[in-house]
Amino acid sequence: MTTMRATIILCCALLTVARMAWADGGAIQFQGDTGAFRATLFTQPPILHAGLIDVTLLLQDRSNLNPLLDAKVTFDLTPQESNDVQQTQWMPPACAMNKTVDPTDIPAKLGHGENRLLYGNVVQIPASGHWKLKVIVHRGAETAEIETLLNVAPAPLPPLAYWHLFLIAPAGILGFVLHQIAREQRAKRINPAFDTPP
Amino acid sequence: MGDPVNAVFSSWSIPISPSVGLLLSLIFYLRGWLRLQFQVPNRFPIWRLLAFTAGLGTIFVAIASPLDAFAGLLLQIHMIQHLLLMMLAPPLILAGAPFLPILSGLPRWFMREVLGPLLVWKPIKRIGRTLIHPLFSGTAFAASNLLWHIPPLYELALSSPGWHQVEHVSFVFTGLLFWWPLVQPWPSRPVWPRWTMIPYLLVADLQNTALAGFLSFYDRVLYPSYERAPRLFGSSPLEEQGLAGTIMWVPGSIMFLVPAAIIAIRFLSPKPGIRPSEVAGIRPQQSRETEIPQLLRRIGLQPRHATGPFDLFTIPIIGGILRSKFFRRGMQATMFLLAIAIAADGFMGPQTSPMNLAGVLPWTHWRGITVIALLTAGNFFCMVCPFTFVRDIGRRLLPARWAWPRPLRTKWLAALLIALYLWAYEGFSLWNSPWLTAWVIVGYFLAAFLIDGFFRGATFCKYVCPIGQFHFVQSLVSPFEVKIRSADVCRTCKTFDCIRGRETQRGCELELFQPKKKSNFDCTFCLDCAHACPHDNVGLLAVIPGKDLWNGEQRSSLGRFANRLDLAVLVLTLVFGALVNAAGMITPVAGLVYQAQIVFGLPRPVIIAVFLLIGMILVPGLLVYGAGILSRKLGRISVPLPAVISDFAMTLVPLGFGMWIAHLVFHLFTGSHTPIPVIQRVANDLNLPVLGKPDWAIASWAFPQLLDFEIIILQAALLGSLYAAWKVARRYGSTTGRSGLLFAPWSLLCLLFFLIAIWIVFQPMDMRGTLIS
Repeated sequence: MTTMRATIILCCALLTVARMAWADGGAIQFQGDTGAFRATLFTQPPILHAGLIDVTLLLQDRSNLNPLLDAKVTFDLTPQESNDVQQTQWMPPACAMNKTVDPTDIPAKLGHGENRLLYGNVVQIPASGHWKLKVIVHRGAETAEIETLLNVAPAPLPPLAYWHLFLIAPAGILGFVLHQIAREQRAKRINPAFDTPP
Repeated sequence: MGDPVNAVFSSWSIPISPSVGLLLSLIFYLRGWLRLQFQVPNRFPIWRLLAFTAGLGTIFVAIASPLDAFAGLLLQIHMIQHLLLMMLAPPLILAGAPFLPILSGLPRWFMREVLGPLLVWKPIKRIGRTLIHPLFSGTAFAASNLLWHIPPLYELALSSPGWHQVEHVSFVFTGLLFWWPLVQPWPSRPVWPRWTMIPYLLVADLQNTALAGFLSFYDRVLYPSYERAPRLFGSSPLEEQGLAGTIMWVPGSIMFLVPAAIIAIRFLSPKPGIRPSEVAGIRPQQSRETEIPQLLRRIGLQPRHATGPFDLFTIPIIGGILRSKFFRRGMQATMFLLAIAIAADGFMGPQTSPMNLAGVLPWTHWRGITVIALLTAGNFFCMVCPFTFVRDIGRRLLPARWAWPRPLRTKWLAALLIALYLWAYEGFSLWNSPWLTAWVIVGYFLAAFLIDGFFRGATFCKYVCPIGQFHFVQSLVSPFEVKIRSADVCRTCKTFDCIRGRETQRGCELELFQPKKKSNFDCTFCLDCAHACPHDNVGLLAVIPGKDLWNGEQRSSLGRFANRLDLAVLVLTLVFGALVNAAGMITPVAGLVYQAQIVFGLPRPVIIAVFLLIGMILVPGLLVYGAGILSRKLGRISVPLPAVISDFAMTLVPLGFGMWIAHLVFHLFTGSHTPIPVIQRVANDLNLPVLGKPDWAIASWAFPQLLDFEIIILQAALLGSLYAAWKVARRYGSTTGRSGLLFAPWSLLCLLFFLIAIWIVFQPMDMRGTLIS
């Protein structure tokens, strides 16, 4: 009994502090050969909006396509001239605490997501527009760079970005209404004169 | 450095929400299985438990193992994942006959009050019967399999983690429906004769074979994502597609054809006349007609004698520690010393708030931890309150013999002090001034010392302490309560030691008589009653959170809520205080206050006083008054307006508490690490450099999903308040319709509060207590 309650409480606690698991892969933003490497660059979500995005890279040996896991990878995100970076998009209030707004020289780590072959990190894009994503790879004496252009849409309106969370209350109310109907019908079946408070 | 093979096999990740769901299912099943295994061992042998566990384990492997990590890159891996979810996990789960064990494993009150009425409701039964009808379940299974393999839908699932989860859920769900008539988990009964399962399986195999054949022999890559995906193992996308088709074809067909063959063999075999168990002298199983009602009664679908709630005191070691007077005194002394240290640093340390103990510990950490304790357990802060220590010293040094004046024996003074505190906090920026914070602590100690030094009983706690009142109100929705274990024991009691006390142990100083105590209100968790009771009949029992908000019973020392307008005002002060306290920290309101200061040329405390007067007294007062009048008119009740307001005001407690939690937990997480460099600084100031030099560039536990938590907690609070208001309305209303009309104004008030709260949490908030602020 005690163990069960403790486990339930633990589960609920886990559920409430659960961080969003960053998905591996997503949309391929770049795929090609550079230096001695073949690189495939992914972003998640596939349609990019200003805010937090997940950037991952699969690095392979160009000659035999073996995944390479001993390189040093960094991401650099720079706005294009046409962007109005002053107009910073809305972010969840706590984001500013540990996510840098300056998205340059971001180290990509192995084991960032569930696929341990990918280098990755979460990057904050502060505003919509066109952004140049540069990936710099160092492996031994070899160095390679990849550049790709990201088209970033404005961040969705805050309530729209969280719409799925706002289903809890309506679902709860609907469940309660159904529950009350079921209960009253049952009570009426037992006692046809039933319409008194519980 | 890294080995790719190792990297592939170590690509596990635990998706929190589904894993918690699986774990809870297993716990409830196991709990119910243990009960049923004891009651009807023939129905629930060990293999059922193993099958159910294996089924859940299969789902876990499919969603957490490298299968999931590589599903987006390799089609054949994705196919294996889907096969596990559709073909292996569902029959294993159903073989565990999970219906009764899970229902039996759920908390009894939940079964009786929540799930029971729904399960016996005719429309639900009808839906259930339709879902498991072979015609529907077979069609749903085939449709799900075919639809999700159409390229646009498959691509959608590949590109969106959310849709991928929907795909998986639909596979498991339709899989469970499909395998239901085949496994026929006890106690369900077959709709069609057993032999019809042979064509049922063959038709399913036909659609599977057609789809698998198409995948295997199609000469173009069906899903563009796999064509673009990087090549990991040298095979071409077309080869991988062919392999995926083969996996779907061969193991898939085996899963359909083997059961079909077994059913056919059994169907054609001669039936035994006598059961082997009967030959061996084993008691034959009860008939279904007598067995199932008995079991339903046992799992709580029908009223039965309850076994008693869970008691925290019964936990080994922890229960003993909680009950121990030594522990309580020790904690009080520790908190007292901590308070002294905070006050000392407030007076003598640097006056930059995030660099001072008085700037971080009381405003960020203590408040955050306290609301978490209230939410998960109960009023544990009052249990270890440092002011109790000073109160007891006051009683020894001063006469402590006068009675608190009768007109002040209400909560009016406490409500006023809370309003004053909220005003001072914002008006004088207490959070930003260690020196003022230290004075507040000293003033508090002095008040506790003098009031309880001159007046009898726990006057300070019951009538004055604003912190205590905050805890009393919020603990109305805590899951534990100091409560009697058995009413029968109290009925035979002649001494009433729980309130009168004994020679060596005082009774309840807050005048709460345990047998008539109905909630946590006014209870400081001091456990004097538990120690005084000669029958050991007082425990720390689990209760349904908030259940006392809607009952109109007479309570010891408090009377009925309906007769206590002072309590209602205290509650409303704290409820709307939660809103204005959080609003004061968001950019739009802070900007407005600043502008008002400039425009009117008035000092900040005056502007804040006006702001509080409007936001915490005038507007809420009018809204509550209006809701009271409207509900009386609409519900056509003759109960006096103050009684209606007093009763319904209590139902707003969950919303107020939700706002406090959302707000204070936000600050706790954003300022989580701030005490570390402050403690290092204090140690250095005391010439104790053992902790190293303070590093002010500290990390934080703040994470973007903190807002998710706030939204969820506020919605739970809204549901709690609405439910409580509905229960009060049902108590007043003569019919359901009348109750609905009575409830309507209060539900609108709850909704308005909720919307404002949501607006607040979406705004940029001042990171008080951190150097960022």
